[in-house]
Amino acid sequence: MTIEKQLRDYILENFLFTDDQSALNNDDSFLDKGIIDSTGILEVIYFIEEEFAFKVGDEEMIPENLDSVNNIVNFIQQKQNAI
Amino acid sequence: MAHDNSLINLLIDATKIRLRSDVPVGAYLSGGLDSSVLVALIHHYGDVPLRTFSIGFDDESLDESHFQKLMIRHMKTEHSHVQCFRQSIADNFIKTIWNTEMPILRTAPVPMSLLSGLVREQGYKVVLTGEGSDEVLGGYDIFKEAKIRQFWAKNQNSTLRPTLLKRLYPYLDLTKTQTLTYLKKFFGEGLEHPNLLYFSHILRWSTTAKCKEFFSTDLKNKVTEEVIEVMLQHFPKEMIDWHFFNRAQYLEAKSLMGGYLLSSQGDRMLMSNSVEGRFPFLDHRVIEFANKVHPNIKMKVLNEKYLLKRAMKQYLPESILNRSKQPYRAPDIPSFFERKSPEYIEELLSENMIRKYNYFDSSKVNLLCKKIRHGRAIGYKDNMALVGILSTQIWHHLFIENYRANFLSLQAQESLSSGMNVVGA
Repeated sequence: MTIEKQLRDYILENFLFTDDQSALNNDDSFLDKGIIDSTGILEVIYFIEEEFAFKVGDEEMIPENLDSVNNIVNFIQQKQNAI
Repeated sequence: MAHDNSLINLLIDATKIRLRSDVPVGAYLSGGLDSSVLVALIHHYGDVPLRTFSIGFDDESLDESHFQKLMIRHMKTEHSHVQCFRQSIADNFIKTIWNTEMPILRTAPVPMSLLSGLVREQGYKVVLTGEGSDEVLGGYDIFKEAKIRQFWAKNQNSTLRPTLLKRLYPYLDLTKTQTLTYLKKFFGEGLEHPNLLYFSHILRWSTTAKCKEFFSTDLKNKVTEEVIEVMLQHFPKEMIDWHFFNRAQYLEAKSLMGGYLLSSQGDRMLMSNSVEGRFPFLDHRVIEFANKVHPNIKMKVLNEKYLLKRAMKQYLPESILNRSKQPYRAPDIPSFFERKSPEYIEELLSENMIRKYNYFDSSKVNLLCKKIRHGRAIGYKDNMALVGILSTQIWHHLFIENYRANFLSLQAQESLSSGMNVVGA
């Protein structure tokens, strides 16, 4: 499964409670669309750390890394390339 | 200073007249400022023995026993305590909905019925409680939040002003700028409309409205009117001229206090054990007085209930006056799912029953339950949604589906006490 698919499924299931793929675009801002609030972001971080086996540093917890499917995919790829 | 004396004198009298009774009168003692104020005033001015009642939680983040003990020692009250375990919430939830007679979004009423049960068990029938103080004298975080957002709205590009948001959650580690980015984004909603009558409540209302995502298609189609529009029609015309803080106080009193705190969480839980609650802070003279006081004296900068604290200085220990405010809450999701869920939960949240009652979308409820069982539902929204869905299912079961059995049979009350009997019926 691609990172993108894995993330989409996770966000759809856990924040939108649906398997309807049309409910989420990859560039939708989680904050602007009200998909994820300030506690929700912690859930996303737990998920990333668990599934992709790296720690998200405090300085990395910014919307540029975490606020859409695309942003997270880029962020994960960067982290994986750096290893 | 003149204000301090007026407030104290009013509160003394409001408390004293509520001690008049042909049966002994007790008081709730949460360990917070408001109940401590009442206990201190009874101690100094009441001619009744000081009898107090409190509730504690096994969950440390919710428990205030430390402050309760401090007040008990300080005022030398005769005290009774009941411990609320997570299991107690699940065990008493059906009975609670029987008494609220409506769905709820928080489990907080459940411990309140355990508390009134304790009062009754100890032979008391009347208690004084601190209800209304936060609304009348400016105590809630939602007022603080509104104040910060108003201040920020005046200079939206300021990078400094939103850092005040950290003051809202002293228990969170918000020293890191990254977390602030998220807070700013969240609390920044509606910032461009600082003059909106319900500016203070936009965030709470929009967060709570997210629960509607779980509605079934049929329910969504039926609920077409915007609740805010309906509420707007009932706001007084002169509200437009009020200070934003007074608007927030008014909204809070008219919405959450009247509709929920005094009802589902208040009188209905008291009366479930035939205990009468009396509320000195809701004495009309106290309210009229507080309404004339400028908001900046009720909440000085971000110091909530400043006037009350100043007025009570000689009566209360420093540690109670200066403690940080803790909202009263009870455990929600963990009460129902931590160990094995009670059978009624499995049954009422099953796909079958969700479809049958048709208020909610069964596949969404299913995914919510799956998330909960994975231990991943930690947010405020998920907790509200679960309690809302579960209480609606129970409510339908008790009052619609089994209307005949529950209201026409004399055994109904008895079978309720054992919970599962009713659901299984």
